[in-house]
Amino acid sequence: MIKSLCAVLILFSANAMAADSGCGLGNVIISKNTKGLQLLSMTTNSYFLTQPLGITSGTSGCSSSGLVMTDQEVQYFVEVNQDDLSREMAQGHGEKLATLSSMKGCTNEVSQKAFGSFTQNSFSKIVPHANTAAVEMVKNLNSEMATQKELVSLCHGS
Amino acid sequence: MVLSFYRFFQITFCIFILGAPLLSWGFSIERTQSYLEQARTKKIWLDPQWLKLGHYRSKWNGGYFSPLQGHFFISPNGFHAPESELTATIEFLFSESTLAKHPQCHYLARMSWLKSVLTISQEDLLPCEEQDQWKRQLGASEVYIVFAASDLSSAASSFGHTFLRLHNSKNTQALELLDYGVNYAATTGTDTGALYALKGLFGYYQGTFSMLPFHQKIKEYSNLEGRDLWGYKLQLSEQQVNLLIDHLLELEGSYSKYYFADDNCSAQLLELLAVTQPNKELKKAPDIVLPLDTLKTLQHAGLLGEQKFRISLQSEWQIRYGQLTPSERTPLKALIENQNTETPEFQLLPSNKKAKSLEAAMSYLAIQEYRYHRERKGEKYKLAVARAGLGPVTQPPAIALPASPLSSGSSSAVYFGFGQMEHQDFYRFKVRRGFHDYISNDGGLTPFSHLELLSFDFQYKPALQNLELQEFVFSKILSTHPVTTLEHPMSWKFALGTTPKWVPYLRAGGGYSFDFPMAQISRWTLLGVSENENLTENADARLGIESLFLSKWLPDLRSLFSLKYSYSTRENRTLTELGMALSMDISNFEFRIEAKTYDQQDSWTASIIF
Repeated sequence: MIKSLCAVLILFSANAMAADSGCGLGNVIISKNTKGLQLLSMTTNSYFLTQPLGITSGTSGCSSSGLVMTDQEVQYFVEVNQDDLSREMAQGHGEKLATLSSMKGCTNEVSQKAFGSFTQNSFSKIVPHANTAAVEMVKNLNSEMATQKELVSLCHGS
Repeated sequence: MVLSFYRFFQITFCIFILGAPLLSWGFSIERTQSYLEQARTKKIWLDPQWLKLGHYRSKWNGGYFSPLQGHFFISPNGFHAPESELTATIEFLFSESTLAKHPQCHYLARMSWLKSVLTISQEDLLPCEEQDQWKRQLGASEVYIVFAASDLSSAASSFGHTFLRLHNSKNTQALELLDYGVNYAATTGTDTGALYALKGLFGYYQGTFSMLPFHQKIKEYSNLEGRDLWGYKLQLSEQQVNLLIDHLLELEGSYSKYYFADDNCSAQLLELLAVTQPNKELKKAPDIVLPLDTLKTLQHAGLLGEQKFRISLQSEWQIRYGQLTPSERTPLKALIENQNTETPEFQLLPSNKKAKSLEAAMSYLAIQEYRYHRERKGEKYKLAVARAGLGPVTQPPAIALPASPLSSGSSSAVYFGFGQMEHQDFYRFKVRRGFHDYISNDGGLTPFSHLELLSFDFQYKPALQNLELQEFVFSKILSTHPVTTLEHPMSWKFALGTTPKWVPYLRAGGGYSFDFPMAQISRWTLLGVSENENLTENADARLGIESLFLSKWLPDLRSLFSLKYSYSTRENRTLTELGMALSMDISNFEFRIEAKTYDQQDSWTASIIF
């Protein structure tokens, strides 16, 4: 029993290490799958990108016991929705962008609009190239946002 | 003094914690016996709540059967014996356990129900801190049922899909994407095609519940599969939501056989929700359980609240494309194909029109990436940089709410009709198990599609006093997608059934469809067809072309003109079929007139469809 528990712990910590670039959805969930296979597998009745419900499913990357860890929510969200977010940042509006701005504390209409303008203006700094990794995108977003004093006060005050 | 008291407290606490399993809250055989006695006296295994917690279904002989397998039932006969399962449950929950998690912390819903129907000593109630902490983090206070609209281009999705969203009240407005989705799905591995269909039909897959952040579910259905999502708040009390979560937790480690037709996501979801409604009968059809029907069952039970529509990436693209003016559409091709922003057509546009074209091109590439599994990162990035450079010059596209799936007609239908064939009267009676005809109202369904399953079309000719099964349809599908300047999707049809005297046919065809702004909207479909008739005896392969022109004049008035010209390889001659039909919705039924000339034989039918 203890042996298998240790084995599981080691396995998960290895995964967590392999996944040091963010939550490692790619490592933990869709390892060894080509992009094509990965997309193909995600049909209605398949099981690839889902986790068993409940509290014995262990810890991996950004989630623990099947729930995303509070301090990793932004990272996890960006990893899952990176493509949509890049598109919505460029156009300055969108549902996923509104969610991200709310996660960053910009919850009312004025601050969300300001957040949208900021990510649009700073698009090339937040997403500097086509292959920008999600973890890099979050890091750039945080460092760029820190320079926007007005936005920060608007969002923290909202 | 304060310090030593603190030390004393610390040591006592440690002894208590370490010794806890040994003290083990002292279950006593006498008390457990008294619970069993209470249960026997009250016959609580017949309580509807207990039967719903076990997902028991009544059998024709008065017995019970539950589809759940795995670690769910404690008694070996539990799956068909509610009484023996109840006895085993009481004995198991109120005794020592060597398991890492005491059974009381696994069977949370059973435990909570037992507490409400039996008098249980406080000494026998264990705390489940880990589970409480997990539920606090999940924070579910409301539950929504989400319907993913049907998608005829994928067999697995042709009936739609349902799953749940557990809403945490702290996730206000845009944050609701951080809620969790609960899904019931089959573990299909990498099986595809016929193997997948056969295994699915005969229950070779295991179906289990699983959970993912809601935004991840949106990505799966809305982005990847291009299916619009309709959410409905379920009218559940806080207590009912708690019971549902507790029950989901006790389903961990269990599964049931997944049958695509009946024991599917919708059937299981309905049984899951039934746990919160012990005194209501949430009925499902005995043969085919369709997600849309279960949604209607919940509506009739008064359980559906506010509705929320979430557009798919695919529908959003169609709306964006539809809203572009000709001048904005012209540069689109160059933007999509080589991200060329230097064309004169593009350069001449004012910046807000440039932005609209760029946004449409970005949506299009995103769909292409999902659909054809080919990364377009570089292309998308170029467009995104160009779009970001134009600044805040656009608003989100205006989206008109499509017809709700709840407004669609019933999936099964009965037709009563009268007609003439070669001047001979006949009465028509037809039953159709599923789903909808090409000319019927397609509100909330895949537009311009036909999906017919298991129908029997009878004709009675009074002059001959003869009742005959004119046609049996096992499956008849027509899936149409319009060709646009950018896309050339295939339209196709497939039909398997029998003509009079159970003579089987197999018909298939492929081609293209085009939309016209005639009437409200009209679609012309042109197909190359291969129709194989009379399969049991002298098989007759026919090759030809078929043209279908469907117009929607008003939301409740449609017309169809059809022409088929085929060559029979057995008879060495050509056959022509010309058809016209008019369909009108009146109150809650459909009135339809159909006229046909087939191989120089004229016929017409007028039917009322319920």
